[in-house]
Amino acid sequence: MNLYVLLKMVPDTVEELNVAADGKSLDSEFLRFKLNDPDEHALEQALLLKEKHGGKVTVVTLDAPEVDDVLFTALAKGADRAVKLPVNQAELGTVAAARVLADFLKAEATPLPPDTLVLPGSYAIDDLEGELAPLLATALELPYVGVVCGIAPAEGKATVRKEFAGGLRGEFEVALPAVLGIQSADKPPRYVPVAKVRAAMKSARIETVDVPPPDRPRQLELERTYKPEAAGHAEMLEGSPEEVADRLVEILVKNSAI
Amino acid sequence: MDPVNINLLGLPGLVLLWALALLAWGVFGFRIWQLVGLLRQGRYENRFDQPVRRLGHMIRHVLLQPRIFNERAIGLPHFLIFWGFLVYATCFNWSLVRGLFPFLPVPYPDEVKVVSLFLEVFSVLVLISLAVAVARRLFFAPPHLHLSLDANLILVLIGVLMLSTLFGNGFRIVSEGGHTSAWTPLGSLLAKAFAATPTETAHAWANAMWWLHMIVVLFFLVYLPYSKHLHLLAAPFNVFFSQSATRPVGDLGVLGAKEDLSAGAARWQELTWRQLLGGFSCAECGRCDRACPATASGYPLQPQQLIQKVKEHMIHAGLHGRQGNGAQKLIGEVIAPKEIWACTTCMACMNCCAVWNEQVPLIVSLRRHLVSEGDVERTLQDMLGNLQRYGNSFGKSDRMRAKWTQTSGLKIKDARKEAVEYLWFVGDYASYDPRCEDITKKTAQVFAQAGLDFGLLYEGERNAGNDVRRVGEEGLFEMLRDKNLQALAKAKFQKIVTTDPHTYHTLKNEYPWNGHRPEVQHYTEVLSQLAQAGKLPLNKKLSGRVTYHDPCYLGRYNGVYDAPRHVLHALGLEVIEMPRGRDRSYCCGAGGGRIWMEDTEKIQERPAESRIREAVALAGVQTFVVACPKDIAMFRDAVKTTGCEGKIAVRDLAELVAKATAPPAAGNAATNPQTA
Repeated sequence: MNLYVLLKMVPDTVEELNVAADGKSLDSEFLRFKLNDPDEHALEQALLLKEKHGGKVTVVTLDAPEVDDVLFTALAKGADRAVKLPVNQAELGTVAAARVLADFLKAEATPLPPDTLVLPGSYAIDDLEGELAPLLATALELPYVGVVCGIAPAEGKATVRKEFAGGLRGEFEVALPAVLGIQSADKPPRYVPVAKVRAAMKSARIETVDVPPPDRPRQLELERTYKPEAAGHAEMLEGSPEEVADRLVEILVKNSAI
Repeated sequence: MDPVNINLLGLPGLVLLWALALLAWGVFGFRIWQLVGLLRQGRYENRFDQPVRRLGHMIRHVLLQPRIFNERAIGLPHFLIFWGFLVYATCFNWSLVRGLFPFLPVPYPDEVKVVSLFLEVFSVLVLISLAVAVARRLFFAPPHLHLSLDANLILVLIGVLMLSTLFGNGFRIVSEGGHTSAWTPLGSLLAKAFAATPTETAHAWANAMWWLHMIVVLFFLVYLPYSKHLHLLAAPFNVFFSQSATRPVGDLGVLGAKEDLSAGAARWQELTWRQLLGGFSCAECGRCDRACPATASGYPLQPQQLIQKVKEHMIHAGLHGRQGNGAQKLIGEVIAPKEIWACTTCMACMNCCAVWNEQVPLIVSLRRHLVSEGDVERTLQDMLGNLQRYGNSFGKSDRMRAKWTQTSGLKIKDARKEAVEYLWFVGDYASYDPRCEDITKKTAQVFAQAGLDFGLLYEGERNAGNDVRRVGEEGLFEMLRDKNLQALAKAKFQKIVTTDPHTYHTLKNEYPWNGHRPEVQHYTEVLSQLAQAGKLPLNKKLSGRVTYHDPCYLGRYNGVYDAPRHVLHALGLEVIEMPRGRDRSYCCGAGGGRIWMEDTEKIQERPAESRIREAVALAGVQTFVVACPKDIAMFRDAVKTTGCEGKIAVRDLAELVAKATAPPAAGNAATNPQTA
């Protein structure tokens, strides 16, 4: 199979996040980036598919801090090819990012071979709506399924499992090539020892592929970034159940709720 | 009279003896050649450094066998059987050479009076020892002693050797006219008993006894390298080549390796030759199994079994074909991953092994292979991921490492910015674990009160890598080590003090300081020195009985037993020892990365729970003193799960010191440690 895994770097929330002086961007002093969690699953899913059905795994990223480490880790895990598109991820909105990635994939092959799967993560902490994958599918004119948690490829198609709210699951048949937003892989992402990553750093190479810069980096203008503002405090009602009930009724009446 | 001068079925004795000797030595030699050939297939490691020290180590532990005496019932008997073996083996060879070369102008050994007496005395001592050994095997076998037919057969054979000597002497005396001698007291006794035997018959019997003796020894020679008694040949070499002879035993570094060992061993050939030699040396005595906390708790690990499995697998695969496809896999088929992961690396096994086997490094080699395959359980994987990214297992930002200092009420120096005498390497648990935060602050306060000039690396410190290395993630260990060494190189200090014994061990014994190793001390050692120098302001005398738990990495790994006890005495406390004290201390179960793993096995009793029950049983002891942050976590949990709350309290040594050094105004009502 021909598997493309799209990796995205997101701010590491273990570090303290602060708003920069411009009131819009994140303060870069303590900011660190890490691989988006669902993307790690997308990579794992691709590696599992490769192990089962053969093929080639290409990981693709836009340029971002610490991204090389992530690419080498992916190579150490078993990816065959790592591609970095020299466009600063931080400057692109989701629409533009999808456009850049689509341009790269079109340049790879048009049309994409029928055993191709493009696997972005289903969402990212700065793209909770999970827009990237459908935008990309649209740009490539390929079918799309999101929140995928299982893939069974067959000749020219794949059966994919998708999770719905309330513990429901759905099965879809998708014609290939397709874009599948991955929620979770069949198995938890594997561990790759540091020694293997180091070996990859020595022996493997990250490919840089030039793509035309998007004409509109952002579709939306960001006005303000801010931390949640504390609004009042909870009041704990104490006393016997009767007292608490009386007090509760009082409050509800006072606020015209009843 | 020469016992070789006989004629058996038309065959002269001399020809017979030559034939038997050549056959036995031939088979023996062939087998040894085979076994050495197996060892040579293992990976190289240099265990040839400092031969003189090694020789001293070997002489002490082979000839005097202090470790055999760590089990009283069999200590002396084994010692006597061993020395009997030495005496008899020497005389056998003497006898054999004299028999094979009749023209040599020397007597047979039993014709020399002193030797004869020696042989008789030893035969009695050995016979008594054999009786003890057999009785132990039959009626009082300790758990995990391998009760093989093999062992009993050997005991019988040794018995035959002793009896044939005594009866040989007896019949010889009778055949030579019945002149008893004080040099052969037992032979003389037997001669009296058989005095009625005709001279000719006695002569024949004496010869028969000599031949019986020689044939049994020759049989023994052939049988030995095929049995567990191979240990008697291999163990002296095993002791000679043991790491403890020249280096700290807990250092997992391998000298002179020619291959990259960081990916571990998937096949027996990927173990080092010394690790393979361990299998030949194992006497199946079960000491390690009896000491192992994992075994006692019902985890699937038995250190002795592990050694034996490697040995049997090597012999099967290496000598009896079955290589390549279809061959059994060392990991997965011969040894299950769950065995490999159960080890806490507490070193109780290695500490009691009488042949100085090295089980922990073997287990780590196997773990390295699992890690290199990514075969790592989920929780452990998360921890390793955290350590890679943040340098600590808690998955917190490295900038939060010294957050506790902000509420410590002290201004603690940054050793990267100003020179200090002591660099305090605080470690992960003491820095990040909320259960330890208060103890860490108190330790800092005590240091400050004692006027210690100390500082921290602050966010420059990383996990020292002890557990990482023992989990088998060698690459990550190297990464953490290098980052720490870089940070330390920029700091100005004279000595290092650590909170965590695991960190202590690794900084002290596993970091390459390139000849500039600073003195590394555990905080209990520093406190002991401060107490001795009268620098600890002991404002309040504590009283009461406490017990102290020796952390594995402080005690067994580094021999620090007295410093913490000295501090407790200085505080005014009475230390009551647990039955498993000092180098027999019972592991809490956290080491070797176990603290990061889930208990998926159904086990009987966690090691920490066993330990707490042991302590609770001590009369009048309500305080369980520890000197390791992981112990706080493990034992406070165990106190709850054993329902011992209220009966015993787990206290860090530093807490008790802080209590005694607290300024008098802080409340002088309570002087009992457990009411703190």
